[in-house]
Amino acid sequence: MKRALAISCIALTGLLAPAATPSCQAYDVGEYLRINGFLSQGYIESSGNNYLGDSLNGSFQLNEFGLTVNSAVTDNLRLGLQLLSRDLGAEGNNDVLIDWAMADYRWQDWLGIRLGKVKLPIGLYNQGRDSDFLRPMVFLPQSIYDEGKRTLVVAAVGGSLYGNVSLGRSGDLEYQAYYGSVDFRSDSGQARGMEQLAARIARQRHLGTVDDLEADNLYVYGGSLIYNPPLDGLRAGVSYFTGQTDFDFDVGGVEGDAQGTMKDFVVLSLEYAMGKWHTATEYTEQTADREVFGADILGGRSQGGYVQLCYHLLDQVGMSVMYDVFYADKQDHDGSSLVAQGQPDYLGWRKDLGVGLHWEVNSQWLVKAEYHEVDGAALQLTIFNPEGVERNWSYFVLKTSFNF
Amino acid sequence: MLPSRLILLCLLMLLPTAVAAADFAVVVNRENPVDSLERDEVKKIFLGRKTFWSDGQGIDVILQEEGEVHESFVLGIVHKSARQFQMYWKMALFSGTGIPPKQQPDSQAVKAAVAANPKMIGYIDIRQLDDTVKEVQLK
Repeated sequence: MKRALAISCIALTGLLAPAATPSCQAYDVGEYLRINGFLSQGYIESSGNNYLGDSLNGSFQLNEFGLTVNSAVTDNLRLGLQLLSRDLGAEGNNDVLIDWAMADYRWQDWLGIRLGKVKLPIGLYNQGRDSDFLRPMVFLPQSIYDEGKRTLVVAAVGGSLYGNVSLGRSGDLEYQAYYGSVDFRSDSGQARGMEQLAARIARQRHLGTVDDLEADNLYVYGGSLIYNPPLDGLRAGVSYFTGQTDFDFDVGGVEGDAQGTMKDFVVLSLEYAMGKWHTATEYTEQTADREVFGADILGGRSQGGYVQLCYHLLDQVGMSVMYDVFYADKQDHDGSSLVAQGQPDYLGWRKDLGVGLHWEVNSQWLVKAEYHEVDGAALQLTIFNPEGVERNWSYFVLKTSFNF
Repeated sequence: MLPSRLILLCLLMLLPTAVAAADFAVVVNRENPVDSLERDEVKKIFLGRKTFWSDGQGIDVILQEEGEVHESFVLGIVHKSARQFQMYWKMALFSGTGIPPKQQPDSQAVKAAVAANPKMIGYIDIRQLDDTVKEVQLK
């Protein structure tokens, strides 16, 4: 029933959208104020496991609404703000939050500074991850853009330095470097992941139940370099991130604490667009160390990467195929250490093969449909499946987006 | 026979979507001392990577909303399709890293905007070039 409703809604969108004005762009308020925005609504249904929420029964909890205000005050100074409301299963619940808000002072092309809440440049696509229409598939590859880690990596209150350095006939180099802290929400994947880990350890030690978890991010820092060579359509990048968060909670009536560190999160990126083709591949490694009740829970160094290929069959219709792999421990691809702890080996990996179609109805409207087959249950799938996870599962997504 | 057709088909699939070639002229205000620019400089200006003239003044970029001249310019100078160019600026806009240039509906409107703003650069249908603006020679 839900699936039929979702297909009907998306089809109706497609029928109505051409009547909307195809000429997009901002609403200008006076000479200096520009307003843009976007909204999207999706439907997700899975078999085998719940994914990001209650998806086994089909879910419409998949949307984003954004409103962006910009003002170029002078040649050097820009003020900007984006409000974002999103719902992704148990996370978001359509609370309206500040996605980014900054004063951006560009002294020269090679040096500028942004102060406020800034988006973090991780991989090629993290800064645009909340705008569905900026990518060919509904979800970015989870090995790098894990929705469960979004809160920690999406934006930080602090500042960044950035610039574009010309290398003459060899192209140019874009850089960004940032430092700040993250406003941590208790419904984020990381907070719920830590709560689940603390509850498991508390059960093992007969300490009681874990409640009232609060998170306090101490810092995040990192940066990115993107090289634009003279070959049109080619980009190569490298990015780095480290962040540390403290957690406090109540366990059996007394205070407990924990600490989580995501460190040395490195992404290597390569993108090439030529004619009707767009290809991207990225590789990542990161270390997740956690300390709960004073004991180190070393997560090892994870490893992942993907290849994505997109081809435009027609001007407005494209198809994509993606293969995305994540290993929780790069030294333990087959999950044998998990088996030794009494857990299924397939919690140690996630291999996602996805195919999708997207239809750009006009420059403002986009409709996507895609299907994924997944082997493995890494990346905190247990949070959404407390009764147990299956190794082989699948999900499909329908989504439509509008932007102006 | 079949492999050669398959190879031909693959090669055709690699080609960009055809666009009508329209001759364009890159234009600036008549007060602007710039007479010529490297094609790569123009590309960087329209991608927001070069934002200052050599005298330190900010560069105001103006685009055409759509049409043959726009498609011909972005493919010929920026080396992107109109769709790729639009997505490039949407990424900058919604990630907070830039504001897309303003747009005008046609060459006449671009010409009027450039004529009124000493810091502005745009492109127009070369058949509409007149002495209200100055053509920039591309090197």
